[in-house]
Amino acid sequence: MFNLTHNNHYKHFIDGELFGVRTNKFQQYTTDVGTIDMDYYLKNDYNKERLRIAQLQYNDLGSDLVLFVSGGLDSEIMVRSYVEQGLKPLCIIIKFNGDYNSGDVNEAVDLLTELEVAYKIIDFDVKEFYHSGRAAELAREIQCELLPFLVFFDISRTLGVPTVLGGELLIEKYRIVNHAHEWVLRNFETYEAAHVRFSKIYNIPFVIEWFSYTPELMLYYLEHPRVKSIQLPTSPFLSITPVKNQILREIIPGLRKKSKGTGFENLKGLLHESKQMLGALMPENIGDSHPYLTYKEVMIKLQGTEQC
Amino acid sequence: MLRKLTMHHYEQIKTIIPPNKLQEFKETYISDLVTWYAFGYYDDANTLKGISCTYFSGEEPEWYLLTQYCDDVTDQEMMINEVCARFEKYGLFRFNWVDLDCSMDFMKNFIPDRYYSFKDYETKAWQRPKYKKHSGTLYNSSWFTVNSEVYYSILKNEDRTF
Repeated sequence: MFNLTHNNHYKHFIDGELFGVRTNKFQQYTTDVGTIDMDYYLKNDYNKERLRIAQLQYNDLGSDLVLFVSGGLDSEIMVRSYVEQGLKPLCIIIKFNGDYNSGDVNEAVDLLTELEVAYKIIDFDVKEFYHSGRAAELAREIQCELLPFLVFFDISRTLGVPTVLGGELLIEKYRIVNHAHEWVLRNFETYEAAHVRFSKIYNIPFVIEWFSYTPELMLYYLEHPRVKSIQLPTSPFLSITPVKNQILREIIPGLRKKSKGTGFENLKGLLHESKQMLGALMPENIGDSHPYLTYKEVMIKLQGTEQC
Repeated sequence: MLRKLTMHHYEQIKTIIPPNKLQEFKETYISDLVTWYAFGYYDDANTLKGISCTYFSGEEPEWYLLTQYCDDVTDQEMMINEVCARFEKYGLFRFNWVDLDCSMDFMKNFIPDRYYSFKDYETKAWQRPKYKKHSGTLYNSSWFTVNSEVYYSILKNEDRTF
C-alpha cells in the first residue's frame, strides 16, 4: 500500500476493514486520524512542517511525481513548499477546452514562471469526457461521483506517474442527532476516499490530502486562533471555507493575490447534472452515512490524549 | 408564444442576455444537459422578448423557475404565465421559484389563480438555503449577496385534470 498520507495516518474503514471498498448498502464508513509526536510538534511550526511534507512526499513517491496545479491558493502553498525545500517536480496544469478556466491557467503559469518550475499544460475536453461515458465508467469503477475529481483521476491514469493534489482540510458545522450542531472534519466517501480506491486499482499513488498529510500539520492548523474562533457560538460561519484563505495568508506571508475560483464557474449546470447522473451509478447508501469525526474528537486523537 | 431555446437561437439570445452572463447561460441552458432548459418568449412578430430559465428535478415531480431575462414587466408576466401553463400540460404541478428582493419585486405578487402559492422560506444574504438540494439549483451553487425568498406553488385540485 502506498503512503497516501504520512504512514497512512488518515484512514477510512468500511465495516472496520482498513481502506475497504463498499459492496453493499449496510456497510458503515468511518474515518480516523493519527497522533502527533509531541516533542517534535512543540519544537516546530506550520511553515517548517509543510517543508517537511514536501520532502516526505518526494521520498515516499519518488522523483517522478507530478503536482497538479490549479492556480489557487492551496496549490500555490503546495508548490512553494516544494521549491523552498529545494525540490522542483514537474507541475501539471489542466486547461479545459472552451477556455472555461483560462483565468486559473494564467495564474498558474505566472506562479510557476516566477518560481522557475517546469510545467506542462494538458488540454482536456471535460464535456466530451462526460458525454462520451468515460466519466461514468471511471465513476463506477472507483465509486466517485464528482466530475472534477474524475478529471484528475483520468489524467493521472494517462500519465501513469505518482500524483499530488493540494486538497484542503475542511471543517464544517454539521447537524447531528436531535438537531444539535457540531463542528466536524468532513470526509466524503464518494470522493475524498476515492483516491485510495483509484491508487489500488491503477497502482498509481494519488495523494489528495496535502493539508492533512501529517498529524502535526493538521494540529497546527486546527489550533490556530482563527480556526478556533469561527466555532464560537457568536460566529456567523457554517464552514471554514470563507475564511480559509485569510487564515492561510496569515500563516504563510507573501502569497500571491488571486481571485477565488474553481474553473467550473461556467459549467455549474454540467457539474450539478453530472453529480446527479453519476450519483445514480454509485452503490446504494454510499455517502449517506455521515460518521464524521467531530472537531473535539480530532483534537483528542491528534494530541493522543484519548487514553487519559 | 413560447419556444424551447437551443444553440440555433444563439444570435437572438445574445440580444437579451448580458454579455458577462452569456457563456454561463450557453453552457447551462442550451447545451446538451437534460435537466436545465431555457424558454424564449416570442411576440406576434416573432421577436424574442424574454428568456425564462428553468430546472427540472430528476428526483421530484417539480421544477424551478430560475432567472428571468426580460426588460418589460408585462412581457415578463405573460412569459411566466405561459411557462406555468406549459408545465401543467406536462403534468408537473409543483414548482418553486426564487426571487431577489432587490430586482424582482413583481414576482412576490405573482400568484396565478390556479395555484396555491406561499412563501416557503427566506434565506439571509451570504447564507446557505434551508434545503441543501436548492443550493445547486435555485442558488446556482453560490451565495446571494441580498436576502432572498423561495415561493412554493401547488396546482389546485380542481385544475388537476390528469
